[in-house]
Amino acid sequence: MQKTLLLVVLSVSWVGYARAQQTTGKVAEETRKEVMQFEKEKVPLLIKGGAAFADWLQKVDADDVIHMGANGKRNNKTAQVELWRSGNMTQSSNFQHDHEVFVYNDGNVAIVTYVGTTVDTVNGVTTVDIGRCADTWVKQNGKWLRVVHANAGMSADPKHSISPD
Amino acid sequence: MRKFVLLFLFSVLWAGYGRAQQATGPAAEEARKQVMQFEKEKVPLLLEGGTAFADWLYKMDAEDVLHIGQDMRRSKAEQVALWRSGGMTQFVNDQHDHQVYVYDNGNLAIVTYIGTTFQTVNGRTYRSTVRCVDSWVRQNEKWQRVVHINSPMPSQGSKKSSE
Repeated sequence: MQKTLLLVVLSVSWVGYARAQQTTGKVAEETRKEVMQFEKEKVPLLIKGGAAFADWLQKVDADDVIHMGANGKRNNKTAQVELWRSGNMTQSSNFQHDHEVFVYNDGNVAIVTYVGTTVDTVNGVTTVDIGRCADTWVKQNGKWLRVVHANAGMSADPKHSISPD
Repeated sequence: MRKFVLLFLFSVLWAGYGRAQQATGPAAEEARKQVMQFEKEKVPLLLEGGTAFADWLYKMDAEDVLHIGQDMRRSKAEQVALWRSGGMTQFVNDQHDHQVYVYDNGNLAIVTYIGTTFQTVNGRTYRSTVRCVDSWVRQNEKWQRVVHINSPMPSQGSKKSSE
């Protein structure tokens, strides 16, 4: 009987430990809200392009942010900001959906995933790009910084179909 | 003169703020060392495969870890099962160009690297070269990987993860 009781207590503790990896409660909800606000305000600025989106990148991206594209290429913050500010990169369409937010470290770290379909023009070449993205955000001194924007390409977006024409 | 001094102080403070985004000092160095230790111990286990790597994944990955690659997203349970069953094996794994970025007072580490693998997934063997980004968090003194995302490198024509 004592053994059974011990086993039950141990099992409950273990389940609690396993599920407690993400931060939960009010702090986590506040983090989700704050980070999703950045994600939502981003899309209209992407469509507006130029200084509007370059300024957003300048504000929210950490100096050492990692931008990894679906082609495995990596851009630093300066190059990414310049690409947008110069108008060499524009988007005429951007549909982001299926957002999920995972919160860790007492609400100081948030991982956001989503699927995005975009019509991009980079240096005069227009393409339709579909990708699953994972962004890592960290709150330091009360300020949110995006430290990773990584994109793994997809062949098709199950929720969207678009043509560059 | 006072204005000049104020302007100078403001510039120094601003520059310091901008550069202080990554954690520095002993805590950051310790975080780098610990996370790189996990990354290094991983490769021989990948080559051993089966239970050896499945157990590493089970231990190191958070319950809600994201495994993302081109056209692929797997949960921890799926990834662990794939390795444990022998459905995924690797006979070459070369990981290099590691860089580690530390934030949140040494409690968040981002690791990037390039990996080239020869691997078999569900009976199909191929070579791939991908750039990977792993996000690690430290909670209750324990490091956990919360994201592993990779993308095929240009001209490599690869599609799958090097882990």
